[in-house]
Amino acid sequence: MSRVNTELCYQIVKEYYGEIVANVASFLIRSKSSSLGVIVQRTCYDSKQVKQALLTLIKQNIVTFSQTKSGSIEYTAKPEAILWILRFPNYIHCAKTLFGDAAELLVEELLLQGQTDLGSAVVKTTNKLNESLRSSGSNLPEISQSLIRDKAVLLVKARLIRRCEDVILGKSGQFGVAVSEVTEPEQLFLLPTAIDFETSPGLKRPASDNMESKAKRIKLEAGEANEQEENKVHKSQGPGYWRVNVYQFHHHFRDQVIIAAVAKNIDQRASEVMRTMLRLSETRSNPLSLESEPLSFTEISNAMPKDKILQKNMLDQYLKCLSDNCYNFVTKVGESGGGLYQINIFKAIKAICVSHIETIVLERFGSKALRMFRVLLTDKQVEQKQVEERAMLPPKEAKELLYKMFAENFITLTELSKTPDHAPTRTFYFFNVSLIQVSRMILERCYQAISNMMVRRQKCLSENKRLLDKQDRVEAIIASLDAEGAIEQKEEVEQMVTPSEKAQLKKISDAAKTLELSEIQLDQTIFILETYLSYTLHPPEVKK
Amino acid sequence: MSGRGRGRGRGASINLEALGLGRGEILPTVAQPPPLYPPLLFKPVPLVTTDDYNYILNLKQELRESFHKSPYFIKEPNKVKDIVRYSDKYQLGLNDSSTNWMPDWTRFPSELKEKVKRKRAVHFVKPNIKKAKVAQVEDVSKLLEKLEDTDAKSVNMEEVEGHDGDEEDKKKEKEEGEEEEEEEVDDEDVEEETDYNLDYFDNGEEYGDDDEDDDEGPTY
Repeated sequence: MSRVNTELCYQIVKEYYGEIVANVASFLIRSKSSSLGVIVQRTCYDSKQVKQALLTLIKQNIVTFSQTKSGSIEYTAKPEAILWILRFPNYIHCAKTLFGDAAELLVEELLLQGQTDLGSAVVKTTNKLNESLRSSGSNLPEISQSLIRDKAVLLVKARLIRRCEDVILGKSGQFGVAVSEVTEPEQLFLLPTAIDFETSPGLKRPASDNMESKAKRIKLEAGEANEQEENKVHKSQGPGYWRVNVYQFHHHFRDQVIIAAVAKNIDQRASEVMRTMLRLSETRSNPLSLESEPLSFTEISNAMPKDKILQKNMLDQYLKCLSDNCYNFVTKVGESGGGLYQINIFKAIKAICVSHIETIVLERFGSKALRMFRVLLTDKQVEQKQVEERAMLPPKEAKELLYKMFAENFITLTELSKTPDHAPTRTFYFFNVSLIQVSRMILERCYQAISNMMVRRQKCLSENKRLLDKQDRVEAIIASLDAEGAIEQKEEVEQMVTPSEKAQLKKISDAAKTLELSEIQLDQTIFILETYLSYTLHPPEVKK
Repeated sequence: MSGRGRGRGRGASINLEALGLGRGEILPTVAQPPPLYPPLLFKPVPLVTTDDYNYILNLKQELRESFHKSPYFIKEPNKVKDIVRYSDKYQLGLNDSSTNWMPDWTRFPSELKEKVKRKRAVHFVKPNIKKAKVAQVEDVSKLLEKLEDTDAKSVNMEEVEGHDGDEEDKKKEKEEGEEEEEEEVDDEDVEEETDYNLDYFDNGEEYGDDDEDDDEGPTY
């Protein structure tokens, strides 16, 4: 975890959960894992505050805990979970585009609560929807809870939400001691049963159930060997806890990026072909594999959406086009079934990542530098003279730009000495681009940039706190006057904000908006870089 | 001095031309640190603003608002700015957001559970509203005599008091017992407060305030 990354995590947690939680979280990130006592000691907060902060962090899936051999409990932070907070609006938006408003609100509720039972989430979503229906004044009938429940089941089927990992209970059976490891990923996506839609776990459970679990607890103490299994039985009785499955969302984003790239590179129809192929392979292949399972021509042709159906020869041409141009997004692997095609997911992601980096080089150093950068990318190891020649640039200009890029770590240098003394005259100097290193460097800068923007925005808001407070107050008064219907007074109150103040307020909100919008768009670059790096760093196991 | 011979001409062995510098070119001298805000050579491209992005932006702002309102946002208790006020203790709404979240303890370690304080039975100390007796001249002289007596017979007095003293001790023990119970109830409060401010030093001002100590048994 780099310093920049820790700082960003601190800023994010501070913005969403307050400063106390942020300090606890950043301490946990720095220290990897530690016990309650150490956290209290190091963060200089009351033990009460630290406990509250930890509860929040655990509930929001940022911190997990486990029991050490000595019996004490260790807390570990997951920094990546903090960075996902930046993507929350994207998840909600994605749920909306895929499954509609109800799904949007359900996902929003789950994100807000971190972990929650489906019952109360469904109730809250239904209430919200009905409220908005009422306020819009439409005459549509009220939405029933069963409809939302169906939506929830749909979301589970699409793997967008999942069960939380079970918590292993301590000996008393009342408190958790550790978050259990998931051994069977399928278990997390078991469809919700009726019991999952019960509201408020533990509170409304019938007394007989309590008795039962008590008996179970006694049993537990008797036979410790099968403690874990017993616990599972015990857990499955109550409504389970659910959370958003971010990986599936990332999966979807990745597919979306690939489709957009195809649309830009070839045309809209080709992107439809790609979309169909991705949808087909989604259920079949391992989401982490580098290539999808092979898909046959007839399969693709049958699965195309009805309104965008293509002639057989057209589809054939598009597939050929996809496999020839477009950085080999698709390859033909066989002839059976009218031709077997495979999506090269890694190649696609790599190409998209490279084009992102190229754009950054273009914007930072200009088009001439980009020409040299491309020469280095295609020819791997190139001497300075060759770079000049191939990029067709005068030596002086080329030198300047090349060294500038070298100084900013976009390109690297390899020394190859003919003699062991590394004398400069007898040494070859090869320039090259290490894609992984450049991606990491840019990623780090993105983190830094987001953190800077957050600081700037907070500063901007805190500097004008008085004015913003005033605006809030005036708005509250206007709202209350509106309710009473006093129009004359309303105008009077409206004039309390002077024109110059209004201009200032507009300036602030515009600045904040721009900063926030750039946060969102920067996060997309981060997403692509992270996806590319995750493919290179953890190469998935090859299926045999 | 054997190193000298080999070291000669070391500077010249770096062929500047191999590094790409021409014969006439002079290396630029760097005499000062780079400027804090170097001029931007390339202006950044404007942000993309589509409907989708605006929607996501609104979502982000709403989501942040709702996080701020949620019980998971822990506000820092207001820092004491100038002086500690008595009313600070009774300021409501500092952490009331945290009260409406009830964790399901089967999913959290027990050590995170705040011990619930038993409400302490409030013992109202009765204010002493008896009017002070107006000392009469005779009383004063009697009192003086008595005091003289006590001074003289201090040794004897202790023997006489022995019996009553036992009773008093018992009373005290009882009271102490009660106090201990109270102390157990709010252990944490006591932990936080040290006894630095308590004044054990008796400056003798309370000496002779017999009239107010009527309940504590007879005086001699």
